[in-house]
Amino acid sequence: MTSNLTQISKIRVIDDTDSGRDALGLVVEDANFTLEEQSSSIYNLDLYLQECKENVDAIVSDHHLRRQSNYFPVDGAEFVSRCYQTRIPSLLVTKFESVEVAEFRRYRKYIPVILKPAEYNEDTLIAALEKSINEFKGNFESDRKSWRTLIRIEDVDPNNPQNFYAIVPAWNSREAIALNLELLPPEFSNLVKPEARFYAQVNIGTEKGNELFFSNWEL
Amino acid sequence: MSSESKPVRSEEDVQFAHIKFSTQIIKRLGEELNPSFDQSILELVKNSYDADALKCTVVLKNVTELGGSIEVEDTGDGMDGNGIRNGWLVLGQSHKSLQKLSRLERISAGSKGLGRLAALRMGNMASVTSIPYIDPLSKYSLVIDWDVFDNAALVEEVQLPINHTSPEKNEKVGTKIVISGLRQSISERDVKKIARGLILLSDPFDDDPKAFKPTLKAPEFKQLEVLVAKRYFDDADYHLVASINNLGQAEAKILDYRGEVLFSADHVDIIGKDKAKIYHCPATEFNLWAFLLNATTFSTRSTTIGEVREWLNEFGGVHLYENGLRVNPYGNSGNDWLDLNLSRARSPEERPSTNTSIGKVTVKDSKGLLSQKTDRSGFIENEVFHQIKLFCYDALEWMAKKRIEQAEIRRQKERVASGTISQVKKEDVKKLISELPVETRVSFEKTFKAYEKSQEKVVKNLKSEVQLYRTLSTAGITAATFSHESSGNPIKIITITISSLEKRIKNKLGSDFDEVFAKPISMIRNAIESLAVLGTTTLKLLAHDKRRPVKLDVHKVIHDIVDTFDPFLKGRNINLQLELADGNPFLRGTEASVESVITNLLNNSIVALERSPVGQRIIKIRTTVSATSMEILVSDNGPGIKDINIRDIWLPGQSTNPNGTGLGLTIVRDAVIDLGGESSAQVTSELGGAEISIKLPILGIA
Repeated sequence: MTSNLTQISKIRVIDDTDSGRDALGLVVEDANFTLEEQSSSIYNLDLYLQECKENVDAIVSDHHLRRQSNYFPVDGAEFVSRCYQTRIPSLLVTKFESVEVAEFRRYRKYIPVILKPAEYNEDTLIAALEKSINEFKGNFESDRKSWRTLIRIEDVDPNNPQNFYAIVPAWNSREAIALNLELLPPEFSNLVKPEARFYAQVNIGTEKGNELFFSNWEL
Repeated sequence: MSSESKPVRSEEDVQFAHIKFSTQIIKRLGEELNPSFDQSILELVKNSYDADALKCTVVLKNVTELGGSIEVEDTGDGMDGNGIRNGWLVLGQSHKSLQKLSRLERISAGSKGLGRLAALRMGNMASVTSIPYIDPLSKYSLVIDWDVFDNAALVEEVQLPINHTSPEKNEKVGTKIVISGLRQSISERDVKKIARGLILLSDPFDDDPKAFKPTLKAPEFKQLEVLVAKRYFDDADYHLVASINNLGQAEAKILDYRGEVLFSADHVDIIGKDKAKIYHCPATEFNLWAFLLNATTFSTRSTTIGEVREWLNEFGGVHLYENGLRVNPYGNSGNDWLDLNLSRARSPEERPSTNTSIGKVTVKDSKGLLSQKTDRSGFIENEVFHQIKLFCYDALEWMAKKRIEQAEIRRQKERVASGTISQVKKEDVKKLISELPVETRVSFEKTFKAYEKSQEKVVKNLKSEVQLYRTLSTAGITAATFSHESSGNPIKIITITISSLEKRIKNKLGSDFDEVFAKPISMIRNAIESLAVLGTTTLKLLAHDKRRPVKLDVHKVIHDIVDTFDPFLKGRNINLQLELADGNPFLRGTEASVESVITNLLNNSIVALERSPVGQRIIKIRTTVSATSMEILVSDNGPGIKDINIRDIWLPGQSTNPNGTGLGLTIVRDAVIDLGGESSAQVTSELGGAEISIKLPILGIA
């Protein structure tokens, strides 16, 4: 299969191990893109994003980028979200562990697709990049469209008050979503208590709780 | 007739009038300003204080019935006719001059006479007899018959003659007030309150010879007087001395029982965060003695806990003294104006309560910044009073902080010492038993030995349990670290590589792929999947949402675990049969606890099946549900419970598997207890192997 994305020919893969980059690169080659591996260390994220924008057409990145010392200044989720905001089509490939859900949620608005390794192949790669490009053009699929909706705080984690649980009735009135205070404007932090209510923009069209993202919080 | 005698209206022709008071007002004021017997009597006693009396004696006569009388006699400066007329009889006028100290350098308690009115109205008749210091050869007396007032319309209509005579030989300078024909009887409880009020009125904890010492002629008073004199201050474990100087700056010390300074603090330490703050109030001193009322601290003292407790019970609380006199109701029983008990309830460690401490706040208020409410129910809560309170709170907070620091050090020591302490105690008991007469000694010795043995067993079990938990936790933490690693990298690489390999072979071979490569590639995929489960299982167990108590759907938890285990079970050729009851029973608990139960039971069955040569391996999870409870039965067709007593399977470290930890069923038992349920075991079941039954209370069925 060849890509029907005419504007993409060169894809750079990011992973902090050689074998990880090689593996991500196999699929890039399978899809007939030109592969470039980022093997040297990166220190300045802003400069690097600029360089990517100029020299490559898309990015495929692993999430854990900091296990090997000094490879990358941030983890993949943050990096891919920055790529998105720089309008570079990008894809995050990683196992989606529940412990990471809250961390990903912070960036999720700017990460259209996260693929698990088992889901990552030439078809899903192309589909993901297409989704990015469509979003840059303003075409959002229903699972990525944000709507202003009510949010009800359910519970605050007694062990770590940074974490709390909320219900988004318009999405699913029975499943509590794990959220972190980092998502809210700091002046709202003290208001997060059981039964408190807020409004925010949420992509309530998604089926999976871990794909929900929140922005524009209001009282 | 001259023109002057004519009734001509002019500027000078003015008629004068006065506001007059109905006698009803006297009655009303008397009733409304009389909060209680003890407060009313204290008002008269405070007058004695203002008159520089050293002694003041209160006598109660036949007061347990109606019509009794109260006598208050002092050795103060007394009054002449003028004093009675223009001072004692004037209501509502404060003739206190705060700036001017009295002959004995007392600052006037400054009664406005309203409290006195309330006191005098307690009976039908009140009389005052006074021999003045300035004229000791004269005696002035006055009688007020309240019935006359009640029959008159206006206060001024009642004439009150002041008699001037010579004192009898035995009569000395001072004032005596008698209130007779009491309108109410005084209960024993009231008498006790009067006694307590008199004792505490002028700081009894100070050793000042010039101090004012009012007494009550009553047995209750004697008892309390003996009690107050006991001064158990030396038995306090901590003595806080905090003060504010004239500049509003504070300092504090904590002393031990010998008066040695344990800690000291300057202004900044006490006020905490708000560095710019000074206290806007007159010079104040706060003393608090905190007691550790436990057998250990008292074991080496001559006093007993009981005595100290009784003393604290009577006099405990933080009393407030303004210019040397106690102000009601601060420090009364039930009055916790510094919220000692509330603070203690919030963080119980190392905080005094009103039952374990006694204290006094002494304020020297020469400018009259504090002002008492007219009904004597405390100070008007103005900013000055608020600042004094704030200072006391801050000092208490600092003390608590210091004590917690100390407690932490002590705890660390105790951890080390507890072994030896129990050894010493044991020797003590043995010694006591050896002193018993022979006939009882033998049976005591026998019982104690049995006790010792069982105790040793408990300790041994606990020790091995703790050791195992530590080992397992370490194993868990390590597993979690590596699960991240394995699911993150090698497995990811194999997974992606296989996809790519499949694609590339297909491109090369076309339709030949299925025949030659489909099977091996799918085998690798399955193997990776079960390998990946290792990592995710461990990580899932650690997900911290699971340790939050929630409304928990037990069947859903079982399904989730079975899904997670599925690749393992397939890999081991185990057929897992689920027979769950209809509906979704739910309870309130943590997912982690139910998960511990099911996971450990599954692990046990898997291990049992490994050691048994059966063809088709079966594990069955069955549930039955009633309105208020459910039962989970986990059984297998393994060898059943062998080589171990069925009662011992729940104990930690008991395992027939040489590589096992022997902790699985202990965790099951403990988790089930946490959920309010019960666990039991059957040696064999219909499948042939063991069957474990877990009964859990449920909240309902969804």
